[in-house]
Amino acid sequence: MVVKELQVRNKLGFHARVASRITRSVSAFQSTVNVCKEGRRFDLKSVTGVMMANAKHGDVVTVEIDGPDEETAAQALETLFAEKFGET
Amino acid sequence: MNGTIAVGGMALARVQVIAEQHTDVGRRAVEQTAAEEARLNAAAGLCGAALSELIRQLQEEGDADHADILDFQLLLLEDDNYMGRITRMVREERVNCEYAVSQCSQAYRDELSALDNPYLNERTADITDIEKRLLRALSQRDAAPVHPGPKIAAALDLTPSQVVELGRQGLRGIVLEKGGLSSHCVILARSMNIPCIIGAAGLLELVRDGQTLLLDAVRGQVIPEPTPEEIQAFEQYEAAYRAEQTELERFRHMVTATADGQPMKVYANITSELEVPELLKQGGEGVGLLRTELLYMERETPPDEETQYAAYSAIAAGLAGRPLIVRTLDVGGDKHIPYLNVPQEDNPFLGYRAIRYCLDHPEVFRPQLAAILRAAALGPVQLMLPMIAALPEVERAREAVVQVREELKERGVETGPVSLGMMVETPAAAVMANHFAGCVDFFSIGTNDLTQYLFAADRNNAKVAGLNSYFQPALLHMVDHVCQCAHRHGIEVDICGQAGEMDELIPLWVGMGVNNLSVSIPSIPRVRRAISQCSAAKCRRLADRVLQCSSDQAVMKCMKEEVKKWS
Repeated sequence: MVVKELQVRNKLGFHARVASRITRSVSAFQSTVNVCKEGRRFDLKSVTGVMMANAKHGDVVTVEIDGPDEETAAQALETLFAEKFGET
Repeated sequence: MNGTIAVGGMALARVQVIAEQHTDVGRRAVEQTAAEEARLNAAAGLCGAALSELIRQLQEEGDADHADILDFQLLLLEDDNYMGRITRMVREERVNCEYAVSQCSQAYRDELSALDNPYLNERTADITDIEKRLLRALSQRDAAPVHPGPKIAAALDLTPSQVVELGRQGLRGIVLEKGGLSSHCVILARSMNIPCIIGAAGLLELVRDGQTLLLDAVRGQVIPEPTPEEIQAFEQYEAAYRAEQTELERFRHMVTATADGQPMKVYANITSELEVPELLKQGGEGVGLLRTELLYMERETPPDEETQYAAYSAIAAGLAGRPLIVRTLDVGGDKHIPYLNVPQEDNPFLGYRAIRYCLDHPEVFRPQLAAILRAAALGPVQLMLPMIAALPEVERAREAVVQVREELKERGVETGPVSLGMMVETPAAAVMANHFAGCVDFFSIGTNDLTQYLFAADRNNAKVAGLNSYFQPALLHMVDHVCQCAHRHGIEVDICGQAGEMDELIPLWVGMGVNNLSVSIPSIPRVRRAISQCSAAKCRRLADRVLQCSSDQAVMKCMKEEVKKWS
């Protein structure tokens, strides 16, 4: 399992459009991808999971990636967060 | 029959009646859960295919904003947390699909509403939308087939996604029994430039599905089975409209300037970020008036800072460096918002409205100021105060802005520079413009209110409409005075009222030295053309002559004669 701490850097946080992008991106991998925030775990392959995680601008979230392609999936996620999900 | 014009224009097409489906969502025990599950999957498949096709078409046309609304719904269909939950309920509780869809949608809406994030709270609308879609697909009664070819949608009311979907299927017009001028449906129709009439009481009893209908959103009439004469009138309108659009094409994307090279700008008046793509398409150079009332409507409590920030920042980002003038809440007058508890008044236009209310209610005013200051980090955002009548109102508002900026700094939140301007829409502000011009960064003249306050004549009362004319010399003197005061203090002056987009008056505004005209989106190219035909020097002389006139009739005559000499 790969565990990463990632910061939410887009202004609006995990809103609906971002949720669509994250879900589409991680669904391409076989690994399970969960985000932990304040002691709760949310499935990033579910658009509702992403939205329930309710991460805001500046929040640091812990992402756990587990499965055969966990390394590539982790890298893809890191890029996605770094690029602010294609927003500002 | 008559209705209120929400988006102007005309359309002639077959009626597509969009009936509200009343599906029975009551609980029924199901024996064959496998068959029930298959029914659910088939419905989800239908919705998914329809949504994917729509998204593909929208993306092909580069319409990302409308595509995103639907993309989210499509993901819900694949989502374990939503579809998965519905499927498990059918299987484990052995119940019908309709019941499971309705129960799970409600549960999910409740979860979203409970979150401490206003943006997500509002996504409940998407859940409702997909719920309706699923229920429609489940009820095989979705019989009223969509007519091929051009159509006018007739309905009680429409959801945003229904408008987007119909827009892909030859939608030419919309007529609604209900609907509000600032509802999301109307804003979408405006952003797609589709003529729309609302408040047509008794509509669904009058029209039949498939019938030919003339939608006259110029005079506000809905005419089923029009006569040959009425059809001919429509065809003439269409031909003239098309010719005008072709002629205007080259004015969409050029820099605004007068014939003798004086730069000006054409801005747009908008209410929502959904209008930004159409604004850009028509060549708008910014937003001269963002009406913020919509954010406060159709709700139980005032929108908080985050909700407002999401809206303003989306617009600021969409404008990509073009200016955005945000008018603070203009509640009262004809805009009633129940939860703000503005008392019933005998004379609301002269009552407790706009800045008067906001200065007394910091709990409503401050979150708005904070959201505007934060959005200013994304582009040139300006803040505009409505209904200013006396200097202390500006001073108190400025103090509030300074305090809110301090608080944001303490919270470590990024803000941007914001210039502070005011609407000139009370005669008091116009008369004292010289003093106000020293205290604010810009003026925007609201000619609609200014005219009715100046002549003490209600603009909605046909009996006094004669007084309420933008050609009245008293009004023109007032505008000229405001412009001169602005120039003396080196600040910009805009017009954001209806008078700003009237071809006949534009030479006067150019002559008086108005910097920017903020107009409705479809008028942008036409206004730019009118400006480009004016020579600033000639227009100044025209304004001087017009200001000698003693009546509105004399003003009209004088302008007609003068403009004739130019061509």
